[in-house]
Amino acid sequence: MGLGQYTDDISLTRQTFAAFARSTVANGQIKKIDALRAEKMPSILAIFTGEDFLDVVGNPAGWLINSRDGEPMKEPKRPVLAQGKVRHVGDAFAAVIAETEEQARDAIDALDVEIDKLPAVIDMKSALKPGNALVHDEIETNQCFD
Amino acid sequence: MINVKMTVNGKPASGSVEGRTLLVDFLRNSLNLTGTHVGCDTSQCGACTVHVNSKAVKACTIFAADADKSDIKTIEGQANKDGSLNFIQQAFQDYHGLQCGFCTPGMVMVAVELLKSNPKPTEAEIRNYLDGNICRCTGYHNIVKSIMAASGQDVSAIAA
Ligand code: FES
Ligand code: FES
Repeated sequence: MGLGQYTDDISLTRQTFAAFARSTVANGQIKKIDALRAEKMPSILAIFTGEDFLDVVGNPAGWLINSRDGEPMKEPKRPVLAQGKVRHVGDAFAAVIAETEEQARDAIDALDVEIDKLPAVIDMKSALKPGNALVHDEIETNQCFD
Repeated sequence: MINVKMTVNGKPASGSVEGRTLLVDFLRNSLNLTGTHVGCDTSQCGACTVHVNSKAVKACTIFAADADKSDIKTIEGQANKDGSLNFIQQAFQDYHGLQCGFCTPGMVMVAVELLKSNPKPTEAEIRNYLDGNICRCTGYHNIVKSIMAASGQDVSAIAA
Protein backbone atom coordinates (compact mmCIF):
# COMPACT_ATOMS: atom_id res chain seq x y z
CA MET A 1 0.00 0.00 0.00
CA GLY A 2 1.44 3.41 0.87
CA LEU A 3 -0.68 4.99 -1.85
CA GLY A 4 -2.19 7.77 0.26
CA GLN A 5 -1.72 11.28 -1.11
CA TYR A 6 -0.52 13.66 1.57
CA THR A 7 0.50 17.20 0.66
CA ASP A 8 4.19 16.29 0.64
CA ASP A 9 3.46 13.40 -1.77
CA ILE A 10 2.14 15.68 -4.50
CA SER A 11 4.61 16.37 -7.28
CA LEU A 12 3.83 18.92 -9.98
CA THR A 13 5.79 20.25 -12.92
CA ARG A 14 7.72 23.39 -11.97
CA GLN A 15 6.83 22.86 -8.32
CA THR A 16 8.82 25.05 -5.93
CA PHE A 17 10.00 24.36 -2.40
CA ALA A 18 10.11 26.25 0.89
CA ALA A 19 12.70 25.87 3.62
CA PHE A 20 12.63 27.59 7.00
CA ALA A 21 15.31 29.05 9.26
CA ARG A 22 14.53 28.10 12.85
CA SER A 23 15.69 29.35 16.21
CA THR A 24 18.19 27.30 18.16
CA VAL A 25 17.48 29.25 21.36
CA ALA A 26 14.37 29.29 23.54
CA ASN A 27 14.22 33.08 23.77
CA GLY A 28 16.16 35.59 21.74
CA GLN A 29 16.24 39.06 20.26
CA ILE A 30 16.66 39.08 16.47
CA LYS A 31 19.47 41.52 15.72
CA LYS A 32 20.14 40.84 12.09
CA ILE A 33 18.86 38.67 9.23
CA ASP A 34 20.95 39.54 6.18
CA ALA A 35 19.87 37.75 3.01
CA LEU A 36 22.29 39.46 0.63
CA ARG A 37 24.38 36.37 -0.07
CA ALA A 38 21.40 33.98 -0.03
CA GLU A 39 19.47 36.08 -2.57
CA LYS A 40 22.21 35.68 -5.14
CA MET A 41 22.28 31.90 -4.99
CA PRO A 42 20.95 29.88 -7.93
CA SER A 43 17.22 29.31 -8.29
CA ILE A 44 16.19 31.37 -5.26
CA LEU A 45 12.75 32.81 -5.96
CA ALA A 46 11.91 34.62 -2.73
CA ILE A 47 13.13 35.14 0.80
CA PHE A 48 10.78 36.22 3.60
CA THR A 49 11.28 37.31 7.18
CA GLY A 50 8.80 38.44 9.84
CA GLU A 51 9.19 42.02 8.61
CA ASP A 52 7.36 41.07 5.41
CA PHE A 53 4.26 40.15 7.39
CA LEU A 54 3.90 43.13 9.73
CA ASP A 55 0.45 43.85 8.26
CA VAL A 56 -0.68 40.25 8.39
CA VAL A 57 -2.54 39.00 11.45
CA GLY A 58 -0.90 36.13 13.33
CA ASN A 59 -1.96 32.51 13.46
CA PRO A 60 -5.27 32.62 15.31
CA ALA A 61 -6.01 30.29 18.24
CA GLY A 62 -8.65 27.85 17.06
CA TRP A 63 -10.35 27.58 20.40
CA LEU A 64 -10.85 30.56 22.67
CA ILE A 65 -11.28 29.86 26.38
CA ASN A 66 -12.52 32.18 29.11
CA SER A 67 -11.05 32.36 32.60
CA ARG A 68 -13.25 31.32 35.51
CA ASP A 69 -14.23 34.94 36.09
CA GLY A 70 -15.42 35.25 32.49
CA GLU A 71 -12.41 37.25 31.30
CA PRO A 72 -11.41 36.08 27.77
CA MET A 73 -8.06 34.31 27.48
CA LYS A 74 -5.03 36.35 26.46
CA GLU A 75 -4.35 35.81 22.79
CA PRO A 76 -0.86 36.77 21.62
CA LYS A 77 -0.24 37.70 18.00
CA ARG A 78 1.73 34.58 17.00
CA PRO A 79 3.21 35.95 13.74
CA VAL A 80 3.66 33.55 10.82
CA LEU A 81 7.42 34.26 10.96
CA ALA A 82 9.05 35.62 14.12
CA GLN A 83 9.12 39.41 14.42
CA GLY A 84 11.74 40.98 16.67
CA LYS A 85 11.99 37.96 18.96
CA VAL A 86 12.19 34.19 18.66
CA ARG A 87 10.11 32.50 21.34
CA HIS A 88 11.01 28.81 21.28
CA VAL A 89 13.59 26.44 19.84
CA GLY A 90 12.35 25.80 16.33
CA ASP A 91 10.54 29.15 15.99
CA ALA A 92 10.75 29.98 12.27
CA PHE A 93 12.20 33.42 11.52
CA ALA A 94 12.88 33.24 7.77
CA ALA A 95 11.64 31.28 4.76
CA VAL A 96 13.22 30.68 1.37
CA ILE A 97 11.38 29.61 -1.78
CA ALA A 98 13.56 27.90 -4.40
CA GLU A 99 13.30 25.61 -7.38
CA THR A 100 14.62 22.64 -5.42
CA GLU A 101 14.52 21.69 -1.78
CA GLU A 102 18.32 21.50 -1.60
CA GLN A 103 18.76 25.00 -3.01
CA ALA A 104 16.21 26.33 -0.53
CA ARG A 105 18.10 24.72 2.34
CA ASP A 106 21.46 25.96 1.08
CA ALA A 107 20.10 29.51 0.99
CA ILE A 108 18.85 29.15 4.56
CA ASP A 109 22.38 28.17 5.58
CA ALA A 110 23.73 31.22 3.76
CA LEU A 111 21.62 33.70 5.74
CA ASP A 112 23.73 35.94 7.94
CA VAL A 113 21.89 35.81 11.25
CA GLU A 114 22.50 37.35 14.64
CA ILE A 115 20.21 36.44 17.49
CA ASP A 116 20.98 37.55 21.06
CA LYS A 117 20.13 34.87 23.54
CA LEU A 118 17.80 36.00 26.34
CA PRO A 119 16.93 34.26 29.61
CA ALA A 120 14.22 31.65 29.13
CA VAL A 121 11.77 29.69 31.26
CA ILE A 122 11.44 25.99 30.58
CA ASP A 123 8.90 24.78 33.11
CA MET A 124 5.37 25.87 33.95
CA LYS A 125 6.01 26.83 37.58
CA SER A 126 8.88 29.17 36.89
CA ALA A 127 6.95 30.55 33.91
CA LEU A 128 4.37 31.91 36.36
CA LYS A 129 6.89 33.53 38.74
CA PRO A 130 6.74 37.32 38.41
CA GLY A 131 9.92 38.77 37.00
CA ASN A 132 10.85 35.68 34.97
CA ALA A 133 11.15 35.84 31.19
CA LEU A 134 7.93 36.50 29.29
CA VAL A 135 7.08 34.60 26.13
CA HIS A 136 5.01 37.50 24.81
CA ASP A 137 6.10 40.81 26.35
CA GLU A 138 2.94 42.62 25.32
CA ILE A 139 0.79 40.24 27.34
CA GLU A 140 2.76 40.95 30.53
CA THR A 141 2.24 37.45 31.97
CA ASN A 142 2.82 33.86 30.88
CA GLN A 143 -0.63 32.85 32.05
CA CYS A 144 -3.10 32.50 29.21
CA PHE A 145 -6.21 31.97 31.32
CA ASP A 146 -7.09 30.99 34.88
CA MET B 1 26.95 12.65 -8.02
CA ILE B 2 27.14 9.05 -6.85
CA ASN B 3 25.54 6.09 -8.58
CA VAL B 4 23.64 3.77 -6.28
CA LYS B 5 22.02 0.39 -6.84
CA MET B 6 19.76 -1.37 -4.41
CA THR B 7 16.95 -3.87 -4.23
CA VAL B 8 13.71 -2.20 -3.22
CA ASN B 9 10.75 -4.42 -2.42
CA GLY B 10 12.38 -7.23 -4.35
CA LYS B 11 13.05 -5.21 -7.51
CA PRO B 12 16.31 -3.67 -8.66
CA ALA B 13 16.46 0.13 -8.33
CA SER B 14 19.20 2.55 -9.22
CA GLY B 15 19.84 6.24 -9.49
CA SER B 16 22.38 8.94 -9.06
CA VAL B 17 22.40 10.93 -5.83
CA GLU B 18 24.24 13.74 -4.11
CA GLY B 19 26.42 12.78 -1.17
CA ARG B 20 23.93 14.43 1.17
CA THR B 21 20.81 12.77 -0.27
CA LEU B 22 19.02 10.86 2.48
CA LEU B 23 17.68 7.39 1.82
CA VAL B 24 14.16 8.65 2.53
CA ASP B 25 14.48 11.35 -0.14
CA PHE B 26 15.86 8.88 -2.66
CA LEU B 27 12.90 6.55 -2.06
CA ARG B 28 10.33 9.36 -2.18
CA ASN B 29 11.73 11.62 -4.89
CA SER B 30 13.71 9.35 -7.19
CA LEU B 31 11.72 6.12 -6.89
CA ASN B 32 8.39 7.86 -6.24
CA LEU B 33 7.71 5.58 -3.28
CA THR B 34 5.89 8.21 -1.25
CA GLY B 35 4.42 5.77 1.26
CA THR B 36 7.51 6.32 3.42
CA HIS B 37 6.84 9.64 5.12
CA VAL B 38 8.94 12.48 6.50
CA GLY B 39 7.35 13.63 9.73
CA CYS B 40 10.18 15.63 11.29
CA ASP B 41 13.66 16.93 10.63
CA THR B 42 15.15 15.70 13.88
CA SER B 43 15.03 11.89 13.45
CA GLN B 44 12.42 11.63 16.19
CA CYS B 45 9.15 10.58 14.58
CA GLY B 46 9.84 7.25 12.87
CA ALA B 47 7.35 7.94 10.04
CA CYS B 48 10.23 7.22 7.64
CA THR B 49 10.97 3.72 8.96
CA VAL B 50 11.95 1.13 6.31
CA HIS B 51 13.85 -2.13 6.50
CA VAL B 52 17.49 -2.12 5.45
CA ASN B 53 18.81 -5.67 5.19
CA SER B 54 15.89 -6.85 7.37
CA LYS B 55 16.47 -4.27 10.12
CA ALA B 56 14.05 -1.41 10.82
CA VAL B 57 15.90 1.84 10.15
CA LYS B 58 14.78 5.47 10.09
CA ALA B 59 15.39 6.29 6.45
CA CYS B 60 16.13 9.92 7.33
CA THR B 61 19.16 8.83 9.35
CA ILE B 62 21.17 7.27 6.54
CA PHE B 63 22.46 8.55 3.23
CA ALA B 64 21.21 6.94 0.06
CA ALA B 65 24.85 6.33 -0.87
CA ASP B 66 25.35 4.34 2.32
CA ALA B 67 22.41 2.12 1.37
CA ASP B 68 24.17 1.14 -1.87
CA LYS B 69 23.81 -2.62 -2.55
CA SER B 70 21.32 -2.98 0.31
CA ASP B 71 18.05 -4.85 0.39
CA ILE B 72 15.33 -2.29 1.19
CA LYS B 73 11.72 -2.95 2.09
CA THR B 74 9.14 -0.18 2.31
CA ILE B 75 5.45 -0.02 3.11
CA GLU B 76 4.72 -0.42 -0.62
CA GLY B 77 6.10 -3.95 -0.41
CA GLN B 78 4.11 -5.07 2.63
CA ALA B 79 0.80 -6.18 1.09
CA ASN B 80 0.20 -9.87 0.38
CA LYS B 81 0.99 -11.20 -3.09
CA ASP B 82 -2.67 -10.91 -4.11
CA GLY B 83 -2.67 -7.22 -3.14
CA SER B 84 -4.65 -7.67 0.07
CA LEU B 85 -3.41 -6.12 3.31
CA ASN B 86 -0.91 -8.20 5.28
CA PHE B 87 -2.00 -9.40 8.72
CA ILE B 88 -0.53 -6.41 10.53
CA GLN B 89 -2.03 -3.86 8.14
CA GLN B 90 -5.35 -5.67 8.38
CA ALA B 91 -5.21 -5.49 12.18
CA PHE B 92 -4.55 -1.73 11.99
CA GLN B 93 -7.68 -1.44 9.86
CA ASP B 94 -9.78 -3.72 12.09
CA TYR B 95 -8.74 -2.08 15.38
CA HIS B 96 -8.73 1.55 14.20
CA GLY B 97 -4.95 1.69 14.57
CA LEU B 98 -4.75 4.88 12.50
CA GLN B 99 -6.40 8.24 12.37
CA CYS B 100 -4.79 10.48 9.76
CA GLY B 101 -2.50 7.60 8.79
CA PHE B 102 0.64 9.68 8.45
CA CYS B 103 2.65 7.75 11.05
CA THR B 104 1.18 4.39 10.05
CA PRO B 105 3.79 3.27 7.48
CA GLY B 106 6.49 3.64 10.14
CA MET B 107 4.37 1.93 12.80
CA VAL B 108 3.70 -1.01 10.48
CA MET B 109 7.36 -1.39 9.49
CA VAL B 110 8.41 -1.43 13.15
CA ALA B 111 5.63 -3.88 14.04
CA VAL B 112 6.71 -6.21 11.25
CA GLU B 113 10.23 -6.27 12.67
CA LEU B 114 8.99 -6.78 16.24
CA LEU B 115 6.70 -9.70 15.43
CA LYS B 116 9.45 -11.41 13.48
CA SER B 117 11.70 -11.63 16.53
CA ASN B 118 8.97 -11.73 19.17
CA PRO B 119 5.74 -13.23 17.78
CA LYS B 120 3.74 -12.73 21.00
CA PRO B 121 4.96 -9.51 22.62
CA THR B 122 3.41 -8.18 25.83
CA GLU B 123 1.75 -4.78 25.84
CA ALA B 124 4.80 -3.33 27.62
CA GLU B 125 7.16 -4.85 25.05
CA ILE B 126 5.15 -3.31 22.21
CA ARG B 127 5.11 0.13 23.84
CA ASN B 128 8.82 -0.11 24.45
CA TYR B 129 9.50 -1.14 20.84
CA LEU B 130 7.47 1.81 19.53
CA ASP B 131 9.65 4.21 21.50
CA GLY B 132 11.06 5.79 18.33
CA ASN B 133 7.69 6.30 16.63
CA ILE B 134 5.49 9.29 17.27
CA CYS B 135 1.81 9.49 16.38
CA ARG B 136 0.81 13.13 16.10
CA CYS B 137 -2.84 12.05 16.40
CA THR B 138 -1.80 10.33 19.67
CA GLY B 139 -3.65 7.13 18.78
CA TYR B 140 -1.25 4.94 20.74
CA HIS B 141 -3.76 2.70 22.51
CA ASN B 142 -5.22 1.45 19.26
CA ILE B 143 -1.82 1.08 17.64
CA VAL B 144 -0.72 -1.17 20.50
CA LYS B 145 -4.05 -2.98 20.33
CA SER B 146 -3.65 -3.58 16.59
CA ILE B 147 -0.20 -5.07 17.03
CA MET B 148 -1.40 -7.30 19.88
CA ALA B 149 -4.33 -8.44 17.76
CA ALA B 150 -2.05 -9.09 14.79
CA SER B 151 -0.03 -11.41 17.01
CA GLY B 152 -3.20 -13.35 17.80
CA GLN B 153 -3.57 -12.17 21.39
CA ASP B 154 -6.66 -11.12 23.32
CA VAL B 155 -6.99 -7.35 23.28
CA SER B 156 -10.15 -6.93 25.33
CA ALA B 157 -8.18 -5.69 28.37
CA ILE B 158 -6.41 -2.85 26.51
CA ALA B 159 -7.92 0.59 27.04
CA ALA B 160 -9.69 2.11 24.05
S1 FES C 1 11.36 11.68 9.30
FE1 FES C 1 12.74 10.20 10.00
S2 FES C 1 12.39 10.16 12.12
FE2 FES C 1 11.05 11.72 11.45
S1 FES D 1 -2.48 8.44 12.84
FE1 FES D 1 -2.09 10.53 12.56
S2 FES D 1 -0.03 10.65 13.13
FE2 FES D 1 -0.55 8.70 13.75
